[in-house]
Amino acid sequence: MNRHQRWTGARALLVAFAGFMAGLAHGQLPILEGLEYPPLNANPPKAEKVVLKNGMRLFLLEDHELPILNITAYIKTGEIYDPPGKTGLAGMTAAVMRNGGAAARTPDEINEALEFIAGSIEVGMSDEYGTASLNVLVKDADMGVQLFADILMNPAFQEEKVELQRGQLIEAIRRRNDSPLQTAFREMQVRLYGDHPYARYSTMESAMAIGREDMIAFHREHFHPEGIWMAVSGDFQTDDIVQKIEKAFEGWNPPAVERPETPAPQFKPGGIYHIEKEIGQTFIVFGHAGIQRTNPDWHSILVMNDILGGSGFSSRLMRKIRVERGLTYGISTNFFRKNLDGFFFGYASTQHQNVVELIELAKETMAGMRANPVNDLELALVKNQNINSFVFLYTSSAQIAAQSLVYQFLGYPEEYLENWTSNIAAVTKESVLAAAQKYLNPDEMVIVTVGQREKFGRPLEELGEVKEIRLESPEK
Amino acid sequence: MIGNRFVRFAAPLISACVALCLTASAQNLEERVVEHTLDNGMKLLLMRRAQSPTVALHIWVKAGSVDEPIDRTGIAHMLEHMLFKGTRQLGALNYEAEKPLLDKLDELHAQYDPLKVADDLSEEQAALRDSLKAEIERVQEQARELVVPSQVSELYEYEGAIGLNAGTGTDFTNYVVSLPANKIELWMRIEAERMRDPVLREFYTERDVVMEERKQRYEASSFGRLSDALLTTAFKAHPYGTPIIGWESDIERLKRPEAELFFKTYYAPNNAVVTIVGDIDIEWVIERMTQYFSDIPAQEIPPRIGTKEPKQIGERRVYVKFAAEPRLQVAYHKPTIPSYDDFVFDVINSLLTSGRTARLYKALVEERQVASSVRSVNGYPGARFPNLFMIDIVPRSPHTPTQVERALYAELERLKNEPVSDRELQKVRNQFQADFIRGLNSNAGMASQLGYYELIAGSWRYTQTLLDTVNRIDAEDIQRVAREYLTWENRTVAVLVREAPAAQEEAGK
Repeated sequence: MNRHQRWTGARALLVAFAGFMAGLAHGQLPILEGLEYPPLNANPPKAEKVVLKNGMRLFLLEDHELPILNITAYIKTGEIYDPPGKTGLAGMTAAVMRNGGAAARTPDEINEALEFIAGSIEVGMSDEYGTASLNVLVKDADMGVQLFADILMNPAFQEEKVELQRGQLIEAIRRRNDSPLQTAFREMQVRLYGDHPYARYSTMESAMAIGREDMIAFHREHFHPEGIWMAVSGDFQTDDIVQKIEKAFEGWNPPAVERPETPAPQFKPGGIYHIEKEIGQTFIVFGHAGIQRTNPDWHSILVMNDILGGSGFSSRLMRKIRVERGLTYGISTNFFRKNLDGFFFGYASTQHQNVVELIELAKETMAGMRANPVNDLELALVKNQNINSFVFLYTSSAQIAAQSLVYQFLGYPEEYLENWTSNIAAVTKESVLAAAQKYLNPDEMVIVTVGQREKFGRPLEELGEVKEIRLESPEK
Repeated sequence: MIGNRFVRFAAPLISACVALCLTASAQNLEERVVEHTLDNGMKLLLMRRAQSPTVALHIWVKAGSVDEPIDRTGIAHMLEHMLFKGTRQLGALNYEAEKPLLDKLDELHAQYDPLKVADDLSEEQAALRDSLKAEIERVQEQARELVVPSQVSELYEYEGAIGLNAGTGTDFTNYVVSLPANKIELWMRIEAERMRDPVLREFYTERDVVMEERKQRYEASSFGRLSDALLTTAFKAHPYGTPIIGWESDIERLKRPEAELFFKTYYAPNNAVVTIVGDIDIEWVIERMTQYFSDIPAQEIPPRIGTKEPKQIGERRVYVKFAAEPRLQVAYHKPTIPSYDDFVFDVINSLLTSGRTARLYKALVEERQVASSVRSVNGYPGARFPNLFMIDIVPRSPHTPTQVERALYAELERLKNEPVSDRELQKVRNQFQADFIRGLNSNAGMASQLGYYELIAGSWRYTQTLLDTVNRIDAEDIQRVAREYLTWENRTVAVLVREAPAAQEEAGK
């Protein structure tokens, strides 16, 4: 059997673009002469979709390579639903669901049972959704699925563990300014979004205001089988595992939930902010209003951002600021898409001396994206990178199963992955220029620096009026 | 990347296995990994995993920061950066025209670098410094005209590479990438060229990048600062005490010919291991690897460092003042692979911090609530030489590092005084088995595991040795090892503080 025949599959995902190399290299590269790639036929298996009677959706993929069972559940909830004055409730609820006992089992009993078989269950919370995962050896599937269901359906929220988690949250609040990058990133979002739920964060007061009853209510209002989509993969027979899951979640039919609408963000004007901190380097984060997950221009925006600062060493920002000038170890930009308007951001760190220079270079580079079309080589590199690496979205059964639900779950456009290659291929210099002009706004950014201002080589005021942010002391 | 042991200390546990399936999988690995050595001594470890049409391609070189000359620290890491700058043909428009410019830059920097960092320059010297700088910038500009920047990474990225990276540790340097499986030959051509004929162009700009990396990793991070202090305090003789990235005053003097010399000394095929895991035809890979790599000559590798860290004879303690909340690291000297006691430490490591039922998590985080997190590492900062067992604790206010230390030592005493129960030991064994199974689930993970153990332990089969040995380790072993190594004499304590601790202040008055 030769290597050309090995990748037999009905659907050719990828085709190598022979002959491009010479162009990329600005000349013929002898070591690439005669190099040809056999076609790569990828035919990833498809997950099977089953809807349980209680509304829970399963996306299942059998994989008999290793004797394991993986479940990742995506849950319709999120930190955006934290009630006023109780920011942190969603995250604490998730943590205490996992750590506070469930059904008839104490926290210790759950941990002992699970860790003896080296299994794991985790429950997590991010801004617009929750997650829960189960990983066990398939021989322990019965016990694993039962514990998993207990934790999702009947968490006990043991008082002692509520207090432990509150203590942990308070410690995290005390330490939230230990990392300069984390500090700059948080403050950038706060200056951008004001008090919108996308930028809220817990305080000592909100941590103290959260009680066990709040968690019970949050769980009741947000954890509902209709809002739970599960990616299930591993060494099982699909019918068997569906039955197991169905049985474990049997009788869970809470009343339907209504999640409050999140108001549309009202972005604040740009500005320059500084936070004084005695550290060896200054951290810089800049950002402005961004886009929603459903944005129809996404592929042009992605290519545009990759050329600007999203793609490794070859991006313009990396080339100008790192490779040519040695001013930073790394600089990158990204569009953080959300259900409502997300944000664009970039970050870097540099010695105090060079802060203003670096920010100027970054703004100039962004302005350059808006002024002129990108060149053919940049465009070809980024488009091909995005098309050719697509195959890596399908490297494990757990990944394929999760992939098959997550885009739909999070509200991306229909057929998001199916149309990926053709949508990237359709991006042009014109559409990239239009995306830059519409979605990049270097003159209206929130810029936050964290470092030692008196050591800056040039005053930060050269960039505009500077507002100093004073951090609360951890004791407060 | 800092020299960690990959698989053994990876992530929280995910899955489990009983003895029966373990045996099956282990045999499976023995059957699936193909070992082949080229005539020039380059070792290939190949494993077919056809779950997707992708492949992980790793080169592991047995040259890390421990192999550096004592006053050229950072050269291994600097070289790792430089190997992305190309070869005579990669990254170059006209190497013949470029070469004299690169030589000229070396000469100019030899004069300029000492002036740049000197204090109290005379007016003449300052003028010379400024004119040299101007000249450097002029020549650099000329040289840049002849460069195709970042071409090595662009060739890979264009073809859909992910995870293109390199890492320098104390013990090794690795170069890793994953590609769609039909592009393996591109990798072979680029990598053979890199190993045969690198050109370390843009050296002095990249040196500035590395200085920024140093500031970011070591000077602006509480963890970086604390770890640095712990290691320099724990090791007085052995280079494990030296930061992998190098001392600032060494980095700013590094020269291109020095990096070339380090390359010529250590980057030989017989000092490298290649691991390829993914959708491959093993025979075809061996045939092509022979074609592309076998003309690179083997060479003699100089003797490795023989300095041994002398036995520590009393606690060492270091404070680090930094603008962050307190943090604590405690470390104990211990032997390394293949010592039996190193395996016992693997078990102790798991007992203490692996999961929510682990002893330190339960005692410090849940019960006494003096810490918000605790983790430990066996084999810190490397494993080619005797190393440390290190415990890293984030205290929870209002508890001080001192209180946390007391709680930690109480748990360590328990290890010495009470035999571990059978069930607890069995739990740890199950967890090791789970780690093993979990490791089989990713091309890149397997490629790392095979390369790491081949280089550090002398054989990729170490994974099996580890499982077998862990199954033999009993409660007595743990007590003996705890008593022998987890002692006051043998420990180093590093504490991160915002302000000088009161007692110290008084002593200083």
